[in-house]
Order: sequence, then C-alpha cells, then structure tokens
Amino acid sequence: MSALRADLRSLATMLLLVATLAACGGAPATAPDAPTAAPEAPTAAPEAQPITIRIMTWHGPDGNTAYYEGYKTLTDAYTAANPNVTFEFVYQPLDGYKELLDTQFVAGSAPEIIHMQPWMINEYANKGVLHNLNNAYNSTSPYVDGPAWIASFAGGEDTFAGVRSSNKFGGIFFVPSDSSAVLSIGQPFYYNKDLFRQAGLDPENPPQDWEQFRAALAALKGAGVIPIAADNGRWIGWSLGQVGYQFGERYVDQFYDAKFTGDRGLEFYWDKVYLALANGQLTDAEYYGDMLSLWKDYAQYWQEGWTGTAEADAPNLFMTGQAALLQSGFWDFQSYSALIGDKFEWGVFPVPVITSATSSFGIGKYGAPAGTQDYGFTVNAAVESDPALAAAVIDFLQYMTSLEAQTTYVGIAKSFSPVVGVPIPDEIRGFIAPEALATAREVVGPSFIEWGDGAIWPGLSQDFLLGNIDQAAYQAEVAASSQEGAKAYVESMLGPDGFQASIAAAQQTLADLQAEGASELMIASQQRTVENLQLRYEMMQTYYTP
Amino acid sequence: MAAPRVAARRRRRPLDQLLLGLAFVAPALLLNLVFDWYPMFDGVYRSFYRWDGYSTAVWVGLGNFERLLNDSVFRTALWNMVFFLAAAIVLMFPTLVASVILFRIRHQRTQFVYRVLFCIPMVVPWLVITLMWQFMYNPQYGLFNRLIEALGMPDLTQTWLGDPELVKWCLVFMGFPFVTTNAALIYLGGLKSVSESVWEAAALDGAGPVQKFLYLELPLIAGQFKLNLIGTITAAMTGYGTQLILTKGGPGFASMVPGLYMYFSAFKSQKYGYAASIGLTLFLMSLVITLLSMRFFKDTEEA
Repeated sequence: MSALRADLRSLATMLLLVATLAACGGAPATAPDAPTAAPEAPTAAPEAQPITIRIMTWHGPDGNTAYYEGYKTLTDAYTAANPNVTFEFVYQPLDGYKELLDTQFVAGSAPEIIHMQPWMINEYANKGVLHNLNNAYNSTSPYVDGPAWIASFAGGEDTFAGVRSSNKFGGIFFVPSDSSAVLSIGQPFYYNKDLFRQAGLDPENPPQDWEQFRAALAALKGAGVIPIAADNGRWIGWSLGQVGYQFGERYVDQFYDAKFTGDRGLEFYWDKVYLALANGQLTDAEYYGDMLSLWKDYAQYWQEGWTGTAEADAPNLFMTGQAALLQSGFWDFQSYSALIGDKFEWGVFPVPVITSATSSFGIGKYGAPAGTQDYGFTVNAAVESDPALAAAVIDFLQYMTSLEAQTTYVGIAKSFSPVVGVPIPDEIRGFIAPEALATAREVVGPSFIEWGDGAIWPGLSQDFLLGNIDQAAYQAEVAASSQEGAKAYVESMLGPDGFQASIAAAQQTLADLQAEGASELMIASQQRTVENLQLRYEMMQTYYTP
Repeated sequence: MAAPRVAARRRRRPLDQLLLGLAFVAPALLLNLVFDWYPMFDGVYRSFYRWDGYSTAVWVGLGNFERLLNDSVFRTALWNMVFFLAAAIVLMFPTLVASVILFRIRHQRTQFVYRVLFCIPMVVPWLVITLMWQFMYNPQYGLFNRLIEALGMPDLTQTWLGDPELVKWCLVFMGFPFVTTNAALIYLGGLKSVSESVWEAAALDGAGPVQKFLYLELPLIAGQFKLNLIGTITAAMTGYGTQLILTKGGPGFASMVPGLYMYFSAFKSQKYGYAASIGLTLFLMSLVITLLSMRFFKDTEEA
C-alpha cells in the first residue's frame, strides 16, 4: 500500500500544480503601466484590510486613447494614499465587450467596477446585477464640499432625474465619466483639407447643411476621391443616426396626455418610445419616407465594398489619404493627430443639419445638451456582500470624481468631465455643437430600427442600402422586430416583478429614509423617484394595447 | 513473514491499480462532465425556454423551434451552410491527393522537407491567417486588386467581401491551396501503417500510379478519410468564426451561417433560448448527416 500511497501523493501533487497553473492562467489581465502624471492625493481611506478592485473598461493600455493612462494615474494615486487598496484593469475592446460581460455576470466573476455604455446600463440595471448608487449619491463625499456627492456633477440632481426614470428600480446605477450633461458634444467628421482642395472645395468652409454636404460629397466623388470611409460594423448605426436623429422631434408626445409630456415627460422619454413601439404607433411615421430615402442616397458616397470593410479598416482609408471624411468622436483626437502627423492638413466639422430645404420634416438643429447623465462606471451588485469592498469601491469613485482628480484626468485624456468646474481641454472644444443650433429634444428618429432585434436589423439595413429589398419591406420587417421587443419590455414592466415591485421597493426606501431622519434632499429625491415610477406605471396601464 | 506480505500485496494489486487508474482518470472525467456534457444538456434544456440570460426562463415548449421554421434569416443561413459544407467536402480531395504524393516520395530528405512545409502553416494562428486574407481582399488597398491593377486590368477589380455574389466564394477560397495539415498527417499516418509487402506486390503486378491510387491507397485510408470527413462536416455546419471576423454575415445576410446567427441571437438579441434551439437543431442536423455518410461508407465497404 505504501507504493500506492506514494503514487497517490504524486498524483495529488500534480493536481495541485495543475490547479495552481490553471488559477494563474485564469487571472484577469492586469495593466502594468506606470502613471504619467503626478497623482493627486486622496484625503480619506477605507478600512485597512487588503482589497483588490477590478475595473473593466474598453479603454486599454494598447488602445488609441489616453483614457487608460488617465484612469491609471488616478488608481495609482488612490493606492498611494490607501495602500491596502489595489486595482486591476480588465481590458476588453468594445467588440466582444458585452459578450464577455454577459458570461462574467452569469459566472459570478464580473469585476467590481464596470465601464458601460448608456444602453448597457439600463439593461444590466433592470436585470438586477448592478449596485444602486442612490444612497451614495445623496450622502456626503469626503472629496466634495457640500451636502451630497450628487451636487458635484454639472447640472446637479436634475441631470439624474431621467436616469432614475429609465430603469425599473428608479435608481442611479453609474458614475458619469468622459461626458457632460450640460454641453452638446457631437460626433463630427474628421476631414482631409488637402482632398477638399483637390475636389475644388473650400476647406475652410466645410458644409453646414445637408444640401451643401451632398454637393461636397458629389464633388469629392467626381474628383476620384472616396468621400466617406464606411465599415460593416458601427457605421451602419452611426450613419443611420446622422440622418435619422434629424427627424421626429417630440414625435411621441402626440400619443399621450399632457401630464406625460412637457418637462416632466422628459424624465421617462424612453418609456414613451417603448410604449409607442409596442402599440405599433411607430411602424409608419410620416417622416420615415424622407428619412430612409435620404439615408439610402447617402450610401452612394461610401467606398465601394463597404459591407466587406471591417471597423478597423475604415480609419485606415482616412489615414492613408484615400477617403476625405471619417466620422468619430473626441476620444480619437489624440491618436488621429499622432497617426496623421504632417501627412495632410485636417480638421473637424459637425454633421451637417437637415433643414427644410432637404426635407419638410428635417428639424434643422442638433440635439440639445442632454440635460441628463448618460454613461460611465457601474458597480457590480455582488460587492454588497462585502461591506468593506463596497465602501472602498464607493470611496474610490467619489475620489475619481473630485475636482482635483478630474482636472488631472482630463488633462491627460483630453476628455470632457461631468464634474462642475473642471476645465475643458482646448484641443476638444471644437467637438461642442454650436449653442444656437443645439436645441432639439426628444427626437424619435429611427428608434423603430435601432431598437429592433440586434441579430437582424444591421443585416436588413445592409440589404436595404444595397437595394436588395425595397423600403416598404425593410420598414415592415424592422418595425415588427422592434415591436416584438418593446411588447416584451412593456409586458414585463406591467407584470408583478415590474412597476408594482419597483414602486413598493421605492416606497419602502422612502419610509426608511424618513424614519432614519435623512436629509431633505435625499427624501425629496426619493419622493420624486416614487412619483415618476407611479406615473410611468399609470402611463403604461392607460395606453398599452396588448 | 516477508513472503505472506508480498503475496498479500500481490493479491491487492488489481484493486490498487484500479483505484490508481480511477484517480488518474477522475479529474479528466470530472472536467469532461462539467465543461462538455453539462453545457450540452443545459443547452438542450434551454432550447425549450424563452430566456434573456438573467431573468427567470419561461417555458415555451416547441415555440422556439416553430419560430425557427418560419425564420427567413435562418433559412438563408441554412442554404449558405449547405454551400460551405459542399465546398468543404469537395476541397478535402486536394489534401488527400497531396498526402499520397508526399507518401510516394521515396527520397527521405525530400520527404522531410515537404513534411516540414506541410506543418509550418499549422503553427500560424488561424486568426492571423484570417486577418491576412481580410487585408488581401480589401478593395481599396488589398493585394488582389493591386495585383489586378498592376497587370493592367483595372476593370476586373472587385469589391470581394463586399459583393453579395462573390462573398461566399471568397470565404471558400481562403483555404487555398486547400491542403489541411492535420488531415494530411492523419492520411500519412494511415499510409505509413500499411505493410511494405502490399506496395511491393502492387509493383510486381505492374500497377500504375493511377491504379495504385484508386485500388490501393484510397481504400487503405478510407478509415482516415471517414475520420476527417466527420471533422469537416461538423466544422462546416457549426463553424462561424471566419464570417464573424470578416463579414458579420453580410453583405445583408449573404454569408450568414446558422452558427453565427446563433451567436448573434444570444449576444446581440439576448435570446438565449432561441440561440439554444438553433444550436440543438445544428447538432441534430450534423449528427444525421454524419450518420448518413458513415452508413454510405459502410454500404460501400460491404459491397
């Protein structure tokens, strides 16, 4: 038996080794880079037990932006002041980001802090996997002078009202980053001035409305230049957005009573759109004809074979001087500056507006400053089981959004900040839409397409743009798809786990706050949350036709 | 006293060895159950539910399968899959022929050189090769159009992956020269295991190269061919990586395959139940086609 024991011992040792190696292999990616700027020292420290906070983001060390460098500077500064708290970055490009996140949540291994885009936040919040930050926002922050952390964000409490109304818990589930609720920040065209000159266009006077834009595109095409670099990924949604969200301002208000419209209605705008989609009221709006034919006309100015061009290849066309225009955001400013260098002269101009000269339905203006926060860092609800970890996560997020930390951050990342008083870097001022034209609100646009089945609508859109299916068939298919999804959402909200449960939970929170003698601001904020939930419930009960 | 102890140890040895054997097998068995069998049965179970990945799953019976029958995108994807499957089966033959030719090279050093040349592509990651082809197909700066232009035929340039009529052919052509290293090594292993006397007898009988191929080499590696065929059928019916990276199923749905549609249904539409029903359907179709082809081979052998 001793021989057997020896064998079993060997086996156990081997298994231990294998398990250890597997554990090493499975560890999340950790970013090794050093900070590039002197960190600001935080002033408070959570409990002293060792804590590791994982931050998941699509801005990685090898990305095109300096965002990662900015985040790393802040985490290093925080660790310097709180040596028991360390950070690990989990980097995943946006392509595959949600897929990875889905599997991590299902496996219970999602990071503590997760960077999310607007559409992800509500989806995950409604699934109950994110931590509700209501109480944290309404409490004081050690890094902010004032009664509550929420007051340190530009626009204050009001800019979170819509956020609370857009999920079924009436909560705030993210800390804003790299954005501003009080500025209209556009996603303009980067353009090659040399190619404009080559086509006989004045590069210092880029097109401002769609007619001028179309003429410029035709001139570029005529000069043998690719007017716009397109791809088979995000461009479909982006190009649709450029054209589509210039139609249908406040279009859904016609379906609802006055108590659900106006400024208060802004707070549950998305519910109004979902409800109209579910009721089939957005299957065929009168502006769709113009909107879709304009979009299809626009496609003739994209490079040949764009449906076979990957997302990463479209910028190459612009960088190599083959395409005159490329749409992107301020986040690419630094990397494009470096990549283009002195190869050609370039600039940016906003997406031209669609005025009545192009379509009688064109609204001729840009979206108003959102007035609402839209994206940022969320917190995994799993931290609630570890109070020390939860406290450290909240404390870090409060530090990260302090005036000092944000000022340091935007200086490195060349980004916008959601925090009051943080300066705007000069390099990106050109990305702010002209104030006089930035007034459009509640623009319904192509929601009936974009809110459809994600497995189908991009392919259907390509078929439509390539002329493989006609407009009526396209419109009918995408509308049916989005109606199905909207119905499922509305019915789930009208079910026992929907509004009824959310209102009961929100009322209980309100009662608890009152019993605890919470501040007036917190109580008023929670009261508004309850009222909004009740209004949304009433609206869906009143108007939904199964 | 020593002799009885030795005898006792000998008597226990089969049990000891069994326990030891089981201990060695247990980790693999456990991992196999957890990571292979459990997901498979869970997928079957989920295919009867409507589930978004988080909320409570709702029983829909055969609802997902009923929907699948009426899903025009799925039908398109199935036809595309049939195209890729047929192409993959036809394109098994270059590997077969190349393996026989390589086997016939008698000069040891030359054979070694060719074998190394065969194996080198195996160590290049598939993703790298896919991205290289993506670059070559690029209509604006890719190799193919540049080559066509350099040859003075600019009118013949194509949009390749951006052309609904060409895209499937482009994806098939990516396998050029259609010699698969793994399959070639399996064929070579089979040919090497044949007794030398068989080849000597064939030479004495005056069998020519074609006769040798048709009546000796091909029948002798029928087992290896079957093995590769199963792999080819499964890969062609369930694979979608190339489409995901290069075309996302487009233009439109021109290169959509059921595997990619399953992936999109799960991760872009949050329809995990529906995606599971696509997966189960694919599995069943793959199983039936594999069994039919095995049956065909069995009948051929018996005949």
